[in-house]
Amino acid sequence: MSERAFEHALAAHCETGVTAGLLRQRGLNITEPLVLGIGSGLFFLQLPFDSFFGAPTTSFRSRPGSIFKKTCQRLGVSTRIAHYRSPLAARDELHALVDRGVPVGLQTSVYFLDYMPRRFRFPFNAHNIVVHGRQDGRWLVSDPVLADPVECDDASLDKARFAAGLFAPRGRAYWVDQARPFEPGVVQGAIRRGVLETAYRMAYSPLPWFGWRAIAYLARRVASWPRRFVARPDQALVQLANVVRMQEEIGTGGAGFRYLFSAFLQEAAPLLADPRYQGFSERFTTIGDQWRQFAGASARVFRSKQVSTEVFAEVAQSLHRIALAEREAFVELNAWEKSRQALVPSHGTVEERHG
Amino acid sequence: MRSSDVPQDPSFLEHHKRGAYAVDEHGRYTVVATSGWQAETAATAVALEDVDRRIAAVWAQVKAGLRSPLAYHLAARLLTPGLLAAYAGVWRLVIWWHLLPGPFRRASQATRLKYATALGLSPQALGELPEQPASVS
Repeated sequence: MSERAFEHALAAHCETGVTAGLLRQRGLNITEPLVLGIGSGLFFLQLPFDSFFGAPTTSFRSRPGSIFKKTCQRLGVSTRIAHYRSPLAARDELHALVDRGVPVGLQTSVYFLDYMPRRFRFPFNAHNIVVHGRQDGRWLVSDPVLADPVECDDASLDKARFAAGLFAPRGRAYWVDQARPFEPGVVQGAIRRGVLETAYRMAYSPLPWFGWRAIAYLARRVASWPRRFVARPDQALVQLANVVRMQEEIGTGGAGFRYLFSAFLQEAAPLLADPRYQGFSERFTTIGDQWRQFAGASARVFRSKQVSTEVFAEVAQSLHRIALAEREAFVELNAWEKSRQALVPSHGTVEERHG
Repeated sequence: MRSSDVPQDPSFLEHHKRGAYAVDEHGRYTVVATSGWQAETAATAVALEDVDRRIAAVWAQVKAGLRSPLAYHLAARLLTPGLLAAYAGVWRLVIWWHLLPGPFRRASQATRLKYATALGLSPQALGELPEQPASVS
């Protein structure tokens, strides 16, 4: 196992970037797209309310925290996940780990991270960063969604790690415990496991709030907004803006992880020696382009501030087309992956501790 | 999307950049640093304007004597009574009571100090309403 200094690398999304960074530091050759695919990070969810404890109900991703856990389990990497009761205990263990040269992933609230641009500091509790050193009483932070490394002081990091609300981090810290070089077939097995879960969830979730059905459901909701918010048209715009923000603004690599997923399929093709994966990759790039067009069309609506049934119906129509395209693509991907030979079990262990 | 087509529009990221995935001239995916895209900035602008409207609405209610300055300070910091309860260590029901102007005036010094510390305000400023509502955009 080769240990080295933590290298900051720009990533599209926080959790995939952090996971890839932690694995790379242990000398494992894993990229951000591979993490997204192996950890089954791509998903689609639309709940039947406008907001859920103040949070938007549209999501392009799986549950926060699951990507790191699944990636490491499937790759056979032993990891530790810790929660703490007191900020002091959390800080002490962070000190100890960093002194030993172990970079640590932390779940934080962007609201308290003072290096973030002002308008991104809203109460959102599932932002992931890496702390990999300490200098002059400040933590050295690698925030994968920013191009440059940053620093953070004790007070704001403590607050960020113990923020309250939905997805409260409770000091959540995670790090790689043991990592051996991959045996042949491990990465391939992990990729297939990730693809199967992603494709199955997207293609066959039976409820209308998950997978491709949720995209169609969102399309129906969009079409209904001009009527529902007839008394306050600005709220219809706010709802639509929320969808576009979840798709682009919060760090998805563009098109709500679709480009990142295409990149994953492209990397998987030579690893699995399967040219069909390159074909799937191109297909998801096209779907990603459709999502970008949807965002572009929505932006024209925001600028004109025109809330009419026709305009929203047109936007909804494009979403509906995306839903059908994704269903077809994921059904085929699932069928193709299932038709190959059976999987070997993986051996990663995750030790989780609650403070 | 082609890496040469990745938008580099001015955005709320200020001087920061973030990563976007795009295809280079050989058809390989790479990560490209981008300063933002006008479509997402337009969406964020809509959301920020909405927050500003809410803050201004609460500000007007406080001005009219319908709610306490605490309600304004919460809205201006994008916080909810539930979050303040957790950060200040005060019961949510007590906070709800202190969102009314009369009960807030009669609140104990100790409780006010807890609110002020949690909101990063001086105890003096906690009881006051600024001249203009704050803006996040």
